Amino acid sequence: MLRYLRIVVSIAVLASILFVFLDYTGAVSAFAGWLPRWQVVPAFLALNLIAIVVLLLGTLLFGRLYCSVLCPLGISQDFVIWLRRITAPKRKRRPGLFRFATEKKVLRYSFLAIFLLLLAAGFAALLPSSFAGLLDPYSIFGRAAGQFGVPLWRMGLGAVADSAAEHGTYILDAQPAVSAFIYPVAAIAAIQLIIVAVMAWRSGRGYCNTVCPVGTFLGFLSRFSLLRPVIDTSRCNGCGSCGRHCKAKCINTKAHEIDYSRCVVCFDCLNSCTQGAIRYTSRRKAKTAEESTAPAATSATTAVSPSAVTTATDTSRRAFLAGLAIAGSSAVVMAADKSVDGGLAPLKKKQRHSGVAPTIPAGAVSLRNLRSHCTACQLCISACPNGVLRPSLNADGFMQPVMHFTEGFCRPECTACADVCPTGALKPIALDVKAVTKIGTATVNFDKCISAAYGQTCGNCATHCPVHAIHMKRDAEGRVRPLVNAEICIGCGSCEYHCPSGTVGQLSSREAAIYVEGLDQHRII
Amino acid sequence: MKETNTDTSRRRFLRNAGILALGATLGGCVAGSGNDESSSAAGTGAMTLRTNPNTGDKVSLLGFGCMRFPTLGMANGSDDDTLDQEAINRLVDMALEGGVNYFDTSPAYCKGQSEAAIGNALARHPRDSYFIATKLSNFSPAQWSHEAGVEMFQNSLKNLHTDYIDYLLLHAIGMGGMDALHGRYLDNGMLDYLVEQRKNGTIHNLGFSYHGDIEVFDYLLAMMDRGEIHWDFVQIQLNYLDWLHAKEINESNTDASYLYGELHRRGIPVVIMEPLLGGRLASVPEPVLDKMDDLRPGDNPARWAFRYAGTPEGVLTVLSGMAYTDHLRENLATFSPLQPCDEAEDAFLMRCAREILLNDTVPCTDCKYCMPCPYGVNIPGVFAHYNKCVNEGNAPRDNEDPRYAAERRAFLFGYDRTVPRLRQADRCVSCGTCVSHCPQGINIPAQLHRIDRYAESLRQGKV
Repeated sequence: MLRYLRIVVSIAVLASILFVFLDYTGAVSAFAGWLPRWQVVPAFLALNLIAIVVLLLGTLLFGRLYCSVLCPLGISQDFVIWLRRITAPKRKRRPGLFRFATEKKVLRYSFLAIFLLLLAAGFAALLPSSFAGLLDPYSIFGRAAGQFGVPLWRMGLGAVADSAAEHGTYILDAQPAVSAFIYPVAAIAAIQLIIVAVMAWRSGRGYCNTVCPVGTFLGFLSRFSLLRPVIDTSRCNGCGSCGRHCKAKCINTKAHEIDYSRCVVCFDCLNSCTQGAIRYTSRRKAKTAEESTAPAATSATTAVSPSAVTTATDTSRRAFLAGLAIAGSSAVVMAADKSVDGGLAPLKKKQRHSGVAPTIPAGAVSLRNLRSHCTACQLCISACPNGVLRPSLNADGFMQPVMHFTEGFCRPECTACADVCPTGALKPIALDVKAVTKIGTATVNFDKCISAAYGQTCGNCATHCPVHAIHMKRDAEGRVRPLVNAEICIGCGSCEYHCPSGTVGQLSSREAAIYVEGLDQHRII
Repeated sequence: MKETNTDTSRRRFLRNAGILALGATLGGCVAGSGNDESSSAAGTGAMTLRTNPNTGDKVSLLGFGCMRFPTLGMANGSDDDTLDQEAINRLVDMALEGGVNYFDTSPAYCKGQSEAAIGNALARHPRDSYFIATKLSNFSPAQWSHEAGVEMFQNSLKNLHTDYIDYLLLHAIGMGGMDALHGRYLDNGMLDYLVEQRKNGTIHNLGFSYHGDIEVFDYLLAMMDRGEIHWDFVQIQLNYLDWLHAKEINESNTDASYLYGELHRRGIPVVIMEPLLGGRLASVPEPVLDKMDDLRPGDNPARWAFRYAGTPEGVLTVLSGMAYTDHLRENLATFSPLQPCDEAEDAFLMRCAREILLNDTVPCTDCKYCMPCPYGVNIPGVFAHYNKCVNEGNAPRDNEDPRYAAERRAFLFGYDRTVPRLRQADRCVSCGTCVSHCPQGINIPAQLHRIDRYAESLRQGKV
């Protein structure tokens, strides 16, 4: 009963979190947006006190239930474990696939120590906290969802919407460009995903109990949890079934001991015991019950699958192929863009200026806040409806969001990224505040301006400036050039996006003639 | 560039002014039929009459405009544009019988034939059964002398077979600006002459009709404020498009909400011309037509427009050129009696106005002479998508419409789907390369900017 409840809840949670990433309309975030905020690492970073207290108290009460029903990476591993089980031959499956293993203390505490050091380095602004995020289970899940789930989902939706449009039905709004897929980040996401998947296939919740710092941290508390699975030795017949069904490999059946620091409270052992000898109950009751012990008869199930290794390779090959497919199809899109001709001027793909100060979303408040709080879960990037955000590749701020104005600009009437950020790297910001928050300054490189290159009056930057910070001025040589009122410019990037330089013309430059220099400290103007 | 900026700010100003003015209209509507005489459902009762506060004239709310009269050519299929006096007589008889008693002509209309034709038709009826409005139409500088002006006025009396004019207008002041006003009426003493004629009873009401330069309009009203002259009535262009969007129709025009407001607060009766905006409001885009029919089944767009123009209480009469008997019959039904627009209908028509203005398709034939655009814009592609959406009713103008979300999706999704973002209208920098190539004479950059503004406001969910 408890196990089925756990399975139902965990599936609902996993699907909700996944769709928080996939759904850029914000419809899912409206009811499931709290889930990322209730992940342990984001909650601590954002100092989300209610979540912290509930999660800690919850663990003291129920054990590491979090790992089974709230952590998307944990639930994903259960999915892999389930796949392994249903693909295993019956004779292996029935007696159970796992075997008790001793706790790998050194590894566990080393990873936790590394994680804490990385976090501290993040707070000290020595390293962006995305490095700590490399170990955060939620962020690992997020990067996989953001880099692979989102592009695939949008391509699929796009295909459906396209065919619907052929029939005159418009089921979708204009879609954001898939601009978040960045190879190095995708590679890291893929590698981490493969590691976790392979470990799950081979050793159940091995990742959670050796690598994951959240698992180790919660393990400190769950040792003392009030409720826990307890073996009633008076009923136990010593068959060892529970141990072989424990994906956390934490039940020492010979000693009738359970390592509660590693138990993820999945209730699989309860179901596997034919004698009803394991109950999820309070510590005190269990103590008294332990006095009377007796052996009993057996009945068992399952064993280790030999195909484990092969199938694991299979998964990684599949992920690799998926990566290739995505890479291939984006190449096709680009090629199609370029080959479009027949009376259309060729367009070049605009590039962001190299070496400019990074522009970051308005909720970040300051570069330092973003650097020290963002674990690079990619949720903001997935949520951006304007194709502006993408993971940075600079070592300083690696994988953290940075704004590019080549495919869109940061619309003053949108706060999607700040709405979804769970870690406090982007703080919630009101629409009217955002509209007047200065995140950067438009800067003119007149040598590249159409006006200088062709002597033509363009002014597209000024036309589209949402705050009217740009006007066109005739200089002494009679050339009309954009003049930016830096005091009222908010750095939205509309000018950079709308600048024809870099996309058309004979200039070799691929950069806009007007671009945004980001501010390290945002301010309200 | 500068130009576009001004454009944007002006639009904003207009929008704000529109909101204010909308409030004003609503006020006007409520007061509406204050001095109407007649009641009961449209077409079943007597013609609605309005009272001229200066003379006590009971003027029919439907006035007969004599600018477009039937010609002999219309009857016999030739291009003979001599007026068909018999047909005119029939129309006039029918109009008088239906209660129309205000006839508006000018020495300039119908190649100068209008005045005599209506004069002949009306002379067959008692002089006190109708009011004649004519104008001093001395447009050509050759007619600017005092003598020529007097001659024109005297000639009108002769043509109209009368010794007095009920309503005499300075014709189309504003055209040609202050210079023309001075040349035509002020410097040559013609205004003094007309005032003199009013004093001796040859003219009963003296007013002006206004088109164009707002400075002249304001100047003439300021004259009245200073006590230098009294205007008994003024004729302006008013309809539900011009109420708030005059500039979008014609750059040199001024919103009717302003014109009417200025006149009404001075207590000057207002004569309305162009209630259908040259016929444009008789045929509206299908989605608008549907909504009109939903609200008042069977009422055609022309009736809506007439009801709108006749609703404000300061309106003395609404002119309509009726060269066809079916138009006349239809209009008589609309005005007998006129059912004024209520507040909800007024607001509805304001939404219709926006929809009509924005629903204009671009007459692009996809010949591609304009291509390639050096900035990469897919000009025919943008126009084709826009036109398709307009024609299919997927260019929403009203974000309170229940179909708004679906139409918005269709427009924006289809836009991105048919034209890549970097080839959309927002990439037009107004370089003007395309303009001379367009055989349709489309002002391509202006149209692209219009569509860009529309798409942008859709993206923001503001329309």
